[in-house]
Parts: sequence; C-alpha cells; structure tokens
Amino acid sequence: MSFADQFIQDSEKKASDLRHRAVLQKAITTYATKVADVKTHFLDWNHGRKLTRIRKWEAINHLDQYLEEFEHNARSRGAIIHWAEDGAQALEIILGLCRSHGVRKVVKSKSMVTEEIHLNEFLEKQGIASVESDLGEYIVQLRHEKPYHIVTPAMHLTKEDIDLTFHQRLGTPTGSTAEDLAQTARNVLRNEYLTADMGITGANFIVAETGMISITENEGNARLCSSLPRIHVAISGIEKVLPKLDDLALFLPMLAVSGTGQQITCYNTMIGGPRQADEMDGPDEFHIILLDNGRTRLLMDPEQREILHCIRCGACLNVCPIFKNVGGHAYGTTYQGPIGAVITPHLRGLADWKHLSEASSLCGACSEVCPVHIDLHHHLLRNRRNSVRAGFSGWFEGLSFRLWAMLMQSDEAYRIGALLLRVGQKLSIAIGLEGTLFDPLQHWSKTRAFPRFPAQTFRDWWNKRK
Amino acid sequence: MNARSNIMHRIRTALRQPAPRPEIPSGRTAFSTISNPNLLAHFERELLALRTGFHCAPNWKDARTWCRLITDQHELRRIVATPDADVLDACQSVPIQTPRKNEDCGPKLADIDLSVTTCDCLVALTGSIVLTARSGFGRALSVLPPAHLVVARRSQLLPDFTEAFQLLYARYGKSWPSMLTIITGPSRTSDIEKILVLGAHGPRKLFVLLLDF
Repeated sequence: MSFADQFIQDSEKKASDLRHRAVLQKAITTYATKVADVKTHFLDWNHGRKLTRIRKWEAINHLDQYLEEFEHNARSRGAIIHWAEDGAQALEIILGLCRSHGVRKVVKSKSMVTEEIHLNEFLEKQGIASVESDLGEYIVQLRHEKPYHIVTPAMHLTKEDIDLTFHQRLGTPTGSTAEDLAQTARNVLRNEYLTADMGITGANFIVAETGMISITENEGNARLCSSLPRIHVAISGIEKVLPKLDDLALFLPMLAVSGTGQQITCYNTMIGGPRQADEMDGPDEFHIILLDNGRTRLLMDPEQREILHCIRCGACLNVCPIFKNVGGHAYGTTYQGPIGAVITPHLRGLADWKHLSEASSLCGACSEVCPVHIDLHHHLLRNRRNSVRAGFSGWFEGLSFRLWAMLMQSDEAYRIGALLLRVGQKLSIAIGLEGTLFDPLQHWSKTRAFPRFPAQTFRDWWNKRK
Repeated sequence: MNARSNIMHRIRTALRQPAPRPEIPSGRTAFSTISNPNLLAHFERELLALRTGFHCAPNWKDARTWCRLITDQHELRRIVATPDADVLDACQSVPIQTPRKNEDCGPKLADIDLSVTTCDCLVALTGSIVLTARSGFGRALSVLPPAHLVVARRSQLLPDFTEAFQLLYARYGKSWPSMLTIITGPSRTSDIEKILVLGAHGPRKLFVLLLDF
C-alpha cells in the first residue's frame, strides 16, 4: 500500500473514532486556554513573531558562517563535533561512540531528531538498551508506539490507558492517579540516569556565539541525562542555529508559549562542553552531532527556505482542523500536522508524501499561530504546485482539471453542467443511490449528506428579475 | 571530515540564491516591562503561581528561622549546601554537609533530601532562577535532589531575560561555565491528559529565600 493510501485509510478510521476525538479535544482545549491566557502577558505577541522571524532568517541565510562559528566555539571548550549527512551516518557515529566506550545502556531525553533517524530501534538491534526518560516518550516506548505529537507524545492516551500500560509492563496496581503514574516513572527512571553509560539529548537551539546547545524541557530529565552519565551526546539538525546567546531571551518564551502555553518552561539549559576543570561534576565527554538529513535540500529552494526557521513548538498541529480530525499517527511521519505536511516531502521525497499537502483546508490557522511567522499554508500550496510540475499528480487529475477549466470558460457548457447536476442528484436520491458504492459522490456522501442543489440556479433567478 | 565538507558545500551552493528578507521590525520588545518598584511584588506573584516557596527575610535571624521552619515542615534532613558565605550563614540553624571534592557530587547526591545553592540572578518577569555549573556547584546538585532551596540577595532580582543575559555576558563572557540553566518553578509534567503533576524528574519542591538587607 502506498503512503497516500495508508494515510487515507488511517485518517478515515480516526476521523470517525469518537473516543479518539474526545481525548484529543480535551487535550487541545486545555492547551488553547493556557496559550490564550499566557499571550496576555505579552506587550505585543505579534511583534515577537516578527522579531523571531528576522533572527531565524539571519541564521538560516548565513548558515555556513554560523555553523563554523558554533563549531569553533564548542570545540574550544572541549566539545567534540561530528557531522552526519543522513540518518545512517548519525547512527554510525553513535554506535562508534558506544562501542569505543563500552556503552551498554543509554538514557535519552526527548528529541524529534532521534525519532527521525530511528535511534531506539537501531540501538536495541545492536544490543544496547535505550531508555526514553521524558514521561510522554516513556509511555509511548512502553507501548511500542511512535510519538503521537511532536511536543505531547502521549496526547492520544487517557489516564486509564496509561494506567493499564503501566500495570501490564511494570506490574503496578491499577487505579493509579496521574500523580501515581508520574511517581512510578520517576522511581523507575531515577535508576536509569544513575546507571546509564551515555546520555543522549536533542537540542532546541544551538548558539553560534558561545558554542552551546540549548535544551527546553519541563521535567528535568534532559538535565539529568546531561549531568550524570559519563558521556553526553547531543544530536541537532543543522537548522537549529541562533547567532547570539541573548537571542534566547526572545526564543525561549516564544517557544514555551506556543509549545505548552507557559511563559517559559521549567528548565532551559545551555550546555557548552564536558565538565570543566573547575567544575564539580558533569560528563567527561560531550559530543555534538550536526545532522543534515535533507535539510540542505530545503535550503536549496529560496522560496521554501523559511520552513527551516521552524522551532518545533507544535502550535500548528494544535490548531489544524486536519490534525484535530485524523490525529497524529495517521500522518505516518516523524513530524505531524501542517509542519509535517510541509516538511516531509522535502525530507523524504515529494512523490511519496505530496498527499499530506493536499490534506489541508488552507484555512491558514497554522500560519496565524506560528511563533516564527512561517507562512505554512502557502508552503502547502507550493508543495502542491511543485508536485503537479514534477508530474506526480497523475493523468486523471490533469484531465479533470482540464475539463473543469473548459466548463468554467464556456457559458453553454456551464449551464448544461449545472442542469445535469441538479437532475442527476434528484435521480440519485429517487432511486436510492446516494451514499452507496455507485454514487459518483460516494467519497463525500458515505459519511455525510451532500448539500441539495436548489431548484433554481442563480442565473435563472437573475434572468427573471432583469 | 568528508560529511562536513559535503554539507558545507551544499549549504554554500544553496545560499548563492538569496531568499527575500522579511520586514525588519522596530527595535521595541515584545514583552511587558516591569517597573522597578513592582519588581519584588511581580516576582512573588509569579513564584506563587509556579508553586515555589518564597520568603523575603529582613535580617539573618529571620532567614535562619525560615530555613529551620521549612526543613522541619517538609522533613528535609539530609541537606547538602554549597560553601558560599550567604548559604552557610542562612543555613546556620540546620545541619548541612558541604561537598568538598568532585566525588561528593554527581550520582553521590542521589540520596539527599535538599540542596541549597546560590544563583546568578533572579528574573521577575517569569519568576525564574538563573544558575550555572559554577554558581550551582556542578550540574547535579540543583536537579537531582527532591528539593532545592536558592538563597539570593535582593540586588540579584532583575526584571527580564535581556538583563539576565547581560549579567551572564559580563560575568562569564571570557570563560563560560559548561552549563547554564534557567529554572522556573519545581519540575513538572502534563504528559498525562494535560494534568499538572509536580516533581517529574527534578525537584518536587523549590524554595527561594531572598535576603532583603
């Protein structure tokens, strides 16, 4: 089955799953209320979006300079920099580090880049335990699922679902509260930090000026992953760069507001090296892997380059009518929602992933909330255009649009077409065809009523009154 | 090294085609500003919303009494404190250990009840605490124990992050510590049905003792 067929099948199933809808609605409503409230703390939220946009534009459009500056500064304080062109190279680097340091267990904090390269599956296959420490990620790992949402991995689960998972996988008694479940995870994972040989984290930002990575979190697991194990490996996409350290004064709040509806998250930690000589603790080695994996392909396209400005806050998912209907798993991608639809064709090929850009109402809600002002819905349109230009849209679509254009341009043809539709619909209803397999409008009419055409067209109405 | 030069080559090739520059916004900030007389009140309000314990002490005697009070109230017995003058003074009323060598830190701190540290500055706008691997005495002390008490001077309270970063540049610009962290409230998670739970992996309890004298 093609990715597109799979997407259609999964989204149809989810769109009519009322339980899924209720769980998602509750989570998104809570989020939306918090975001609306926290935005009132700003003098001018929209001005903030313009400020972040120009800073990211500066960084991305001088990416070579800032990456060199980052590399130089990080190295000068003892970080070891690795470059990976794709996922396979990144995995090879990590495996090499594990092998040379005798690493048997890795403790991980949340990182979408590690999802992108399928790090956990890879390490498990190599006989190295890889434990997720973010609560949401830990839950989906226990269930052998993929994260449902780039910021809220377990958004699709109820407390009862998680209670059952913990009961089955960890042997805890059922009937736990959210507090109990969090406490269980805390107890289990505490031991993992203390016994793991390597901590792997992502990076929300990398700062050229000081050679630091910056990690945003609420739980403290990323801080523990980067404090206790003797080796810390951070993986970051090359696009995460910011020019100056104090750019974070702007970006950390903008990310927190959009990501979780907080003014700033609980911990924002900047790490610029292994333990220094005058410091009490910290890892002996600090490695940073800078990953391309399709990002330079996006950079090649000046028209869509700004997609690389994305800071992965997840706000566009939470407002998207498509996401709210089909949920995160239906996308079948690492990145879901509008940003996933925009970015996946670039990272994994337009031919296979163009359908995501078509699954959009083009309402523009995503562009409106984006904290770095990315014009997301227009990028969806550009993906569609590029896919047609590349000849991926198929002969039937081409023919349909040519016919449509003919109809719309000819007065007579339009009149006849409108008449046929009215008669056709009446007939279809009369003989009970509507909603069945033989209904030409079945994709629409099998789950909802197609609006009735009025008996009189506007043209007839107008002619009568003229 | 090959991957690096390939990536760099692709970036440079790509950037030969410029992308249109977006509008340059005016220099003003997006954030609300807090005037100086409201600094302390704003900070206190934010801490309350974040469920962070707060006390503003007018003298040493009061500071010590409060330290005693919270350690008794929350049954915090095994206490590790950094050897800073203010911390030691404030903790006179409670039994503490101070880490002496590297081996006293890191995973060794897993069994203690409370850590007491200073910080670099406090941010009134969001009720945040800024500390580093130097002021925080390494990385683990301020995150591994289940409770963390920060002792700070009134003069360390700054309005916003712009000023906080200015202070960090001035203090560390020549030689940065390997870790800086901005702490805002006790560790938390909302990963289960968006229900707020405190104490996910870091400290469940966070206290700020402000020395206002």
